[in-house]
Amino acid sequence: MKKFLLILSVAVLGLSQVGFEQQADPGDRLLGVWEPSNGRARVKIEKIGAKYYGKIVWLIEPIDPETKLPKTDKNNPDPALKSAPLKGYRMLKDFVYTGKDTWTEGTIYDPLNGSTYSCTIKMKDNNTLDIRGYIGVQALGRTDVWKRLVVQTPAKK
Amino acid sequence: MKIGAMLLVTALLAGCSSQEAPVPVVLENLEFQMEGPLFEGPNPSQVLVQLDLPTLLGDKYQEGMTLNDAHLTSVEVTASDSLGLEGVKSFVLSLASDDPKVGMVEAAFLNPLESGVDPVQLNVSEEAKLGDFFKGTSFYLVLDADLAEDFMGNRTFKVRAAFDVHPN
Repeated sequence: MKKFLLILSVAVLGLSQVGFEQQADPGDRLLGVWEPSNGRARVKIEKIGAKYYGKIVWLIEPIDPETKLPKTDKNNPDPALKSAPLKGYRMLKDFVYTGKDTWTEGTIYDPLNGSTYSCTIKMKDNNTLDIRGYIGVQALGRTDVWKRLVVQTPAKK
Repeated sequence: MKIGAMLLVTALLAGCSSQEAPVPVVLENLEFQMEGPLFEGPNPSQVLVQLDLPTLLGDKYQEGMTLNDAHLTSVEVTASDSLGLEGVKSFVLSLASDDPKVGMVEAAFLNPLESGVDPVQLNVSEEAKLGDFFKGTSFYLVLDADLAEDFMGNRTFKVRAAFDVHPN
């Protein structure tokens, strides 16, 4: 009887652990640092409240060749934001996890032309995203493949 | 023709009188904590702002009142730790909401910070439309601090944000 109760307790604890792990938000698999296919930038996806946002954390060419200063968002249609630093700009905004490895309701900003597009994200596997930006309907858009990066923690000083 | 003109003027006057004057609202002592390790570059922190109209509007509040529009008028940021603002290259203040219909808006920023100045006043975007954030029950203020180098500890900043809100 004692052995039976012990086995039962272990089984219950095991199932509880599985249940606890399954309660983690599946949308949080999107969190991390990702690199677009052109390799010219890296984007860190974070969570604010219930939504997901991605900001530029690295640029292959961080300095503007004309000004010799860090690049700014000079193509932003809002005059007040034209001198906002490009590194750190949130180019992905307002994504909501809608199930089936898909995040929707978001937008993607292209700093090269200052345009914002509707966007959906589809996780192909844990290290690969299909980022589809479009205007109006998804069929009228373009998909880019992003790959996950592993980030090193800073060395102690 | 004269009656038509009089009716038009009356309608215009009625429209003007129904518009409430903007009410200034100040959110003070908003503490943004950034937990280390912090990376060189932008590091975010957020504060949840709960909207309680009677508290927000004070004696201007009337039963059934809602907010129609809102504009940010000023943002002041100061360091709330011993490090001051040294090592901070820029600040960006944004508003975000859990409402799927309300998109994030960058509302104020300062780039670069002038050395030795603390507190700093951020430049407010006049085009930022913030009314939708004040129609719900809460929204997030997000402060991004762009750091000049990696930092293993925590950083804390205090923000004072002033708005003009337009009640119905």
